[in-house]
Amino acid sequence: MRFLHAADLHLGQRVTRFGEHVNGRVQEARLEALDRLVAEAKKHAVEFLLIAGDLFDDNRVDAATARRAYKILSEANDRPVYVISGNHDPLTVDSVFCRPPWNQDDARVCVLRSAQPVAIPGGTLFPCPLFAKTSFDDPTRWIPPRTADTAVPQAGGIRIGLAHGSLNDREHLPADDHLIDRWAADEKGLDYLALGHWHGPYRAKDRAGVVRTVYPGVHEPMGFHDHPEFSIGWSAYSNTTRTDLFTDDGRGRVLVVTIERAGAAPVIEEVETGRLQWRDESYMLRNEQDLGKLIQTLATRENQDRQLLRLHLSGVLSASAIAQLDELGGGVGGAGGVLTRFLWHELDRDQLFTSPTDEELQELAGDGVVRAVFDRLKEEEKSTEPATQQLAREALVLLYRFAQEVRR
Amino acid sequence: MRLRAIDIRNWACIKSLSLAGLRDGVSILFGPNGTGKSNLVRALRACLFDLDHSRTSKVLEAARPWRTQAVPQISVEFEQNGATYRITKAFSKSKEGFARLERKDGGEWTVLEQGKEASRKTRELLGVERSEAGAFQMLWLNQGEYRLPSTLDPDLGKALVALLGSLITRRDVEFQERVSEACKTWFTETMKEKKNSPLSQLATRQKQACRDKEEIEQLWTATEEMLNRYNEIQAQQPELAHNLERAKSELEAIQLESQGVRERQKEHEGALKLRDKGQQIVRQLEERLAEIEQASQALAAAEQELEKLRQSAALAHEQRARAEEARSAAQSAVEEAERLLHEHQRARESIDDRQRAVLIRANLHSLEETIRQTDELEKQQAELQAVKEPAVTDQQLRELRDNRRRAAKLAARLEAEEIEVQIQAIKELDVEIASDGEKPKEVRLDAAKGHKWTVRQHAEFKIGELATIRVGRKKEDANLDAAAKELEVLDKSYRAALEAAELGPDDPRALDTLAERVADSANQNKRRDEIRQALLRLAPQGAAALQSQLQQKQNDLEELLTRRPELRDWEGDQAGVDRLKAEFDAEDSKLKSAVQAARLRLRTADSELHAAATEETRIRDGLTRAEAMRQAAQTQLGNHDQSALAAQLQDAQAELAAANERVRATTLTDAEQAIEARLQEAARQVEERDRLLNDNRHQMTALKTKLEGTEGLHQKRIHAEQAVHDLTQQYAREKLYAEAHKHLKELFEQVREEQVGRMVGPINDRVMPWIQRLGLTGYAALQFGEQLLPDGLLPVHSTEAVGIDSESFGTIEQLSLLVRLAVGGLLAAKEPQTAILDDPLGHADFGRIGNMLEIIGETAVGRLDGKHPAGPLQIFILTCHPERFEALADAQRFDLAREIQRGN
Repeated sequence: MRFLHAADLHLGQRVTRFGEHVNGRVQEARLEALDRLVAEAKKHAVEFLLIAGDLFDDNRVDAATARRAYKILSEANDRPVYVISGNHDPLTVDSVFCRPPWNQDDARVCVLRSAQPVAIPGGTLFPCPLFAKTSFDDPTRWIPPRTADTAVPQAGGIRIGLAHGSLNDREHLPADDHLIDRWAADEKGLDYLALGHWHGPYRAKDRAGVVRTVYPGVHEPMGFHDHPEFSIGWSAYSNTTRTDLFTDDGRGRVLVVTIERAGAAPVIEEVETGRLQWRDESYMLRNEQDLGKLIQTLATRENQDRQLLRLHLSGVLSASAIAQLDELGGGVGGAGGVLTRFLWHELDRDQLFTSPTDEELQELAGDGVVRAVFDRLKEEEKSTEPATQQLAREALVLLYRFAQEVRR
Repeated sequence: MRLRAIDIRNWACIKSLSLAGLRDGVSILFGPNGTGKSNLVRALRACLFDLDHSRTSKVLEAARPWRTQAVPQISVEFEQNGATYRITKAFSKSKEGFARLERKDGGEWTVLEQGKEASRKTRELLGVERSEAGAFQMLWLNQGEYRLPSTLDPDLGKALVALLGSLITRRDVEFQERVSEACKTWFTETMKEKKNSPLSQLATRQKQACRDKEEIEQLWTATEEMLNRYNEIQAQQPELAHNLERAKSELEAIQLESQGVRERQKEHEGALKLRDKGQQIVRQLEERLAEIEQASQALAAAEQELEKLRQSAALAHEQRARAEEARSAAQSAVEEAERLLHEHQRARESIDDRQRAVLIRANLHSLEETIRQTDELEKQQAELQAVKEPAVTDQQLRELRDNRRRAAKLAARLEAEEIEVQIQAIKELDVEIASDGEKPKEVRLDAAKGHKWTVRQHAEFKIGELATIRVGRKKEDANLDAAAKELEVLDKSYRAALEAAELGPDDPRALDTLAERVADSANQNKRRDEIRQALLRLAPQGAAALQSQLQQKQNDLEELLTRRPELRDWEGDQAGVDRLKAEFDAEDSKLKSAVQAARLRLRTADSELHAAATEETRIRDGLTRAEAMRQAAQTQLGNHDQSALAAQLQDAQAELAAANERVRATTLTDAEQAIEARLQEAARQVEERDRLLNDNRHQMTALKTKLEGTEGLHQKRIHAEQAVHDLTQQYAREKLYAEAHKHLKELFEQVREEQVGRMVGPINDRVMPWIQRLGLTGYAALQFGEQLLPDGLLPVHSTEAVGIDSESFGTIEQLSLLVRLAVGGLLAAKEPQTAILDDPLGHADFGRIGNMLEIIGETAVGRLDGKHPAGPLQIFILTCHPERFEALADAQRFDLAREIQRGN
């Protein structure tokens, strides 16, 4: 048996921080990654696909997103796609799965709306859909143990669990976060428990030391993984402070799982599906050459249009080097530099200081009032008061600009 | 620099001048106009700075002595940086021209440079390229240069900066302009935030985005609540369904129980029907028996009534017969009375004819009398018409009287005015007299007899051959002639009138006679009118008409007498007729009363007869009705069998009792009756619970519909939040950007003000006390312009500066000179300076001159202690009024008129 396991696709993801165009691109990337997921399923010749909840970011996603997703999944040819609802898209009355096209019975894209065993080639699937954002119930509780297998269609076959919730293997998990028994795979005699909910990849072994309980992680990254505190507007519906559970590792992937027979250890293969790269990079600049090198590096980087870049610069530069920042895109106005080739960028130069030489200063500011103003602003820049410092830095940038204009 | 000696040859009007031993302090170089004072200054400028020896220039051409080929040569000895130098220039392109710079070393002159290099080196030593640059811009004043320069020479600026601090550069000014221009995007001139700046626009957009987001959030929350509500309602549904099922079961149980009760109820209803029927039969029988009783009572009453009516009918019949009799008698009485009255009324015609005869006869008498009177009046009228009409009228009489009154008045006047001429002739003689233009007439005058004449105007007496005597008015009175003429006319008119009246013109009673005649005539007219009136009254249609009337009356009488011959001899009068009439009327009245009485009695009898007949008819009708009633009662009674009915009633009552018993036996118990209520309650419960369940379903459906409508809300929420975030960031960015501009501008202005203060402070501090000494005590400080030179004065109690130009010529010059001296003093603190003032203080009054000279004296000494050290100034004053500067007692003086040897 070979199948594809994905979860937490969060189509229509809530992104509000980069302006309309970039936000649209971020949302679009999740659909592109879904396309790639289907392509990978074909490529790896899986027999079916499992989506372990949170296919959508919310039940109230727009119709276009819902239709696009359905269309893409229905193009997996004759491979059935089994979908359960997660805590972001629970099966409530207003569920996206109750609206067209998701409300139709389709052999290709099957929304499993109840906790009932489903016959699959070579075994049985035990779906555990969610009906609310939060619940104190273990969604896998209903799954009958293997000993009671006589009641299921494919008795003796491979048993696959499909659920969405937090694996109860650590402390400080919210009790209403659909907690799943750490040993559910053992207790229910499952060959593989395909989970969704946590955004990072996670694998848990059974008592025999075999990995059977698996979170695949997201199919497309959802933010700056190094700095999850940088809000892009998205938030988890769980009542948890454990943001780590919902932070991806910067990659987008799905799993291709092969199980030879009931009881055999699953063979799990990671397949990349991610489109966008969320980068947080810091550079220390000592001189003009450092800056030039950085500009060169960024200019020649591949896939700039698929990267969201937060660039943190530190160090002390001369005035001429500061002028070079324009080339980077960090000068006054911030337009036209290398950084603008990226899908989105943010330049943090709070720790980058300018220190023009005397000659530079003489040339730029002369020895009159402008020079005295420059000296004052440099003093203010040293302030411990952030607002004063910020104002002084901004005014300094303006001073450079106006002084250069006057000089010209 | 300090000047020590000047030697000039062939410079303009100066053929030669040699000033040596020039000291520190003040030197006064005086001489009348045209001596060459200004040429001396020009020579200094040319030698020290402005002209190379080999150059040609307008200045040099002007300086070259006229009509000579003499070479201008100037030599200036000066001290600079502790050394003594001498520059000598002979201005010529030929070999005569040269330049030489020497330095005095140990009493000997050493040549340092020659040619152009000498000029350059000198300028370098003195630190400027031109004589109007650096300190010299301030200190070397040409004649009439009483204002401060508009721009500061850069070399002087540099020198001041070196001395006092930094300076505002051109770059600074441009920088400030750029910053100010950029600030206009967000701020007004006074740096207040603009209302429609990009920042405020962003703020507005951000607020709107926040409101939009808030709306979406509210919708989102409402949706969440709806979902919760839906889940709650959904959770209630099983219980509601269960409740309904339970209510339905209960209803079924009660329905079963109620079936037995229904059967008993049916039986009871049957008994009730039977009872009702029995009651009806008994009631009907009882009614019929009551009817029979009623009918027998009615028969007895009818018979009794019938008898009573029969008796009444007999009585009424009798009464009617009597009434008929009475009426017949009354009718006869009326007829008799009417007959008697008719007979009596025939006698009336005879009386009427007698009356007529009396009247006709009376008319005849009257007519005859009238005719007689008429004849009499006509006779009188004829007599009056024979009387003669008077000659004059009343009007004419009045005119005649007026004539006489006027004539008398005129005569009296003429008499009063006339001249009397008396002549006493001694002997008889004839005199021809012509008076008042009349024809001369001859008059014989008797002797010894006096003669008188009256003359109106003049008279001429011609006494024979003796004399002609003229008598008259000295001036004739024309009025007298007019009066005499008028009198003549009046007399003539009077006489004519009298003549017409057949009276003598001299009859003195003529006017009275005429008056009497007029009175008689009036009386006759009056009498004629009376007669006419009387005739009109008696015979309006004339006498003939009267005769005709008389004839008519006579005919009427004859016709009457023919009809009644017995009256022909009847002599009766009106009284007789009246008596006959009275007798007739008395009898007539009596007879008419009798007729009236008889008729009244007949009417009474008529009404009595009618009443009797009516009463009889009424009683007969009553009889008929009573008879009918009796017959009906009899018929009714004849139809019923009373005893059979009584038996039937008894049977019916027995049946009713049995039915009542049955009803009582089948009546439902309380418990049985309550089952209906229970049944209804159970049905109501079912209905209520069904309604609740349905409500629940409807609510679910409604909520579901609403919830299904929230598709896409997620994306809308994202957009709203994104808009808020974007705009907040944009706003923060824009705000920081704007604030940075503002900060830069304000910092620039602050720094600039501080620097200006540092530069101008020392100048202000030196000049202000001097200004006070000049008596200008209303000012607190100088105001400095962009060029660091004062352009105004700040009054003590105001921030509004007063421009220097608004002061008088003299004050402007003095202020300007004070600033120059202050700047010079400051510069001299480092290196002594020379000031040349060509014809200064030309506009100063006596008091001011004194103060200014004191100050000049002080600046010549300098003061190196204090806040702003000032070095000594070597000051040269060129003037044509040396007496003005006598107060400068220590000054070195040169009489240029003596020192200068003038050329042509």
